[in-house]
Amino acid sequence: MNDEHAVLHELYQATILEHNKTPRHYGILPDYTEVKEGYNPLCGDKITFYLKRSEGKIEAASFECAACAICKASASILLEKAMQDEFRNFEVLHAKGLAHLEGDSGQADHPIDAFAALGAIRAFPSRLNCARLPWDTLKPQ
Amino acid sequence: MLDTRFDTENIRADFPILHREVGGRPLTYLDNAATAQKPKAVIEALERYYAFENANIHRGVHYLSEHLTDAYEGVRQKVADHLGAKDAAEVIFTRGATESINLIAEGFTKTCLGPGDEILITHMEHHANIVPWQMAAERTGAELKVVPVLPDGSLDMEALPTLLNERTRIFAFVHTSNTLGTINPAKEMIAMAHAKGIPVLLDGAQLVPHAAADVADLGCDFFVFSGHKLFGPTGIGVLWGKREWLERLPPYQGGGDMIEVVDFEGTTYKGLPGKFEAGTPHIAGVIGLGAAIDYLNGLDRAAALAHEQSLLEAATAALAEVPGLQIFGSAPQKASVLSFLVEGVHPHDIGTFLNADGIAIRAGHHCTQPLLKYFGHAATARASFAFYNTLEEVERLSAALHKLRRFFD
Repeated sequence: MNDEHAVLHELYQATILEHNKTPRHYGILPDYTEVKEGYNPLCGDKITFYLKRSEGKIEAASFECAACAICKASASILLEKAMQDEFRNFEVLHAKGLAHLEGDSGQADHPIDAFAALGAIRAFPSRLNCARLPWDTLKPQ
Repeated sequence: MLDTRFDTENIRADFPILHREVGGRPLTYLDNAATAQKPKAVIEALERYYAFENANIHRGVHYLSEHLTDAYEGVRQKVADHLGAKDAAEVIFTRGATESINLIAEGFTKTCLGPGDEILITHMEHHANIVPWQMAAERTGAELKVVPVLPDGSLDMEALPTLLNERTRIFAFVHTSNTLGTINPAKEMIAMAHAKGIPVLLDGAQLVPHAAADVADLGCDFFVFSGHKLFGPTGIGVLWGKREWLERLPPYQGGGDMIEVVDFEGTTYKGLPGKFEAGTPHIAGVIGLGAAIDYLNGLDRAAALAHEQSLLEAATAALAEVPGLQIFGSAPQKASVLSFLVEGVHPHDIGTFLNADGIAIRAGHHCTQPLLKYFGHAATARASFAFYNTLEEVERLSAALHKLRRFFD
C-alpha cells in the first residue's frame, strides 16, 4: 500500500464507512416541527434535517440526504453526539466539531472523541465541503 | 476492437502532462470532456508569444504589432478553414462556448424575441445552453421549450416537429452531450428547423475534440466551441455565425477596437468581425488555439476517432463487468464519454477513490442538472477519453472500480 492508499484508508476508515452504511437518526422524524435544508451547488448534494423543537429547544432530530459517504457520515456523527447530549450546549459542541474539521489548533486541548474520525478529511481539501455541509446546515442560530 | 493504426505512444510524447505522476502513480487522465490536455506545440507557441512576439494588435504601426496582427488574423482564417466556413469574418473570438452563446442570446433578446415567442432547446443541454436562454426568456416574455430526452439518452425526435413551430424564434442544441456522449442527428435536426424558417445554434464544444466540424455541411446558423476542449488554452472560444445573422445582431460589448468613429453625439461600429470583439482580445489564447489546430491538422483524425471509439467500446464492456455498475446513455451514436454510477457508492467517493490510483475522472452533475434529474440522480461519475488515452488506461480504470466495489462493500 503506498502513501496515497494509506491516507485513503484513513479518510474512509471504519467509522466513516460504518456511519455511511448505517447512518444514525436517518429518515423523516414523524413529529418534526422544523426543516433545515442544505445544498452544495458544486456537486448537487442535498441534506435535510428534521427537528422537533419545543419552547425553542431541540428535543429530537433526524436527517436524510442524497450525498457522498463523507457527507452522510459527517451528519450521522454530528447527530449521534448531539442526540446523546440531548442538544445541551449544542452551540459549543457545534463550534468544537467544526473547528476540529477545519484543523483549528486552538480547540486541540479539548477534543471531542466522537468527532475524531472526521479529522482525516483535512487531508482531502476538495472533500472538506462534503463534510461541512451538515454542519453548515445545522448551524445554531 | 483496438485500432492499431493509431500510434498512441508517439502521440503521448507530445503531451508533457501525461508523463507526470499523481500520488506516486502514473496519471491516468480521463477527464477530457472537462478540459483536454495541451500538446507541446501549444505550450511552446504560448511561450514564444510572450517571450518574443507580445504587442497589441490592430492599431500599432511597429513591427511587433503588425506581425502579431497578421498572426492573430491568420488564426481567424485557420479557424474558418477548420470549420469549413468560407468567410473568416464570420469567425468571432470569445472567451469560450459559454460567452458565444450569451452573445447570441443577448442579440436575440434585443432584436428577435418578444412575448408569445418560443426558444427551443433540449433536455440534454449543458447549463451554458440553458441559462442564457432562460435569461433571454425572462427579459422578453418569450417561453423556453424543451425537446424531451429518451431513456437511452437520445432525443425524442418524434416530439421535435411539433416543438418546431411558427412561434419558435431559435433552436439551440448540443451536438454531442458532455454527460452521456450522445451524438445528436444534428444535420437532420437543422434541416427540420430550416424547413420552418427557424435559425439554429449548434453547441459544438464536445464535437470538436473528436472530429472537425463542417458548418457548411451541417447547415447551422451559429456554431460555438471552446479552445480548451480542443487541446488549446482556456479563456478562448469561437462563435461562428452566418454573415447575414451576425450583421443583423447588435454589438455585444462596447469599447475599443469595435468602433469606427466615437463621438459624444453617437458612435459607429466596425463591420464583422470587429463589431463583436471589444477591447484588447485574448491574443495569447488565439495564438495557442491556432497552434492546437495546426497540431490536430497534423494528425490522422479519422484514425484518432476510430481509436477513441475502440476505447469507448472496451471501457463499456469492461465497466459492465463491475458488480452494481450502471452506465447512463446508450444512444446509437456516442462520443467517447462514459457516465456511470456504482450502487451504494456516491460519485464523489468514486472520484476520490480513483484519484488514489492516479485516475482523474469527473464526479458531479457535469453542468447538466436537468438531464441528471431526468435519470433520477443528482450526480454521476464520468470517464471521458481522448485520442491520447490507451487501452491500458481503460484496464486501469476497470481494475480500480473492481477494487472500489470490494472496498465499499
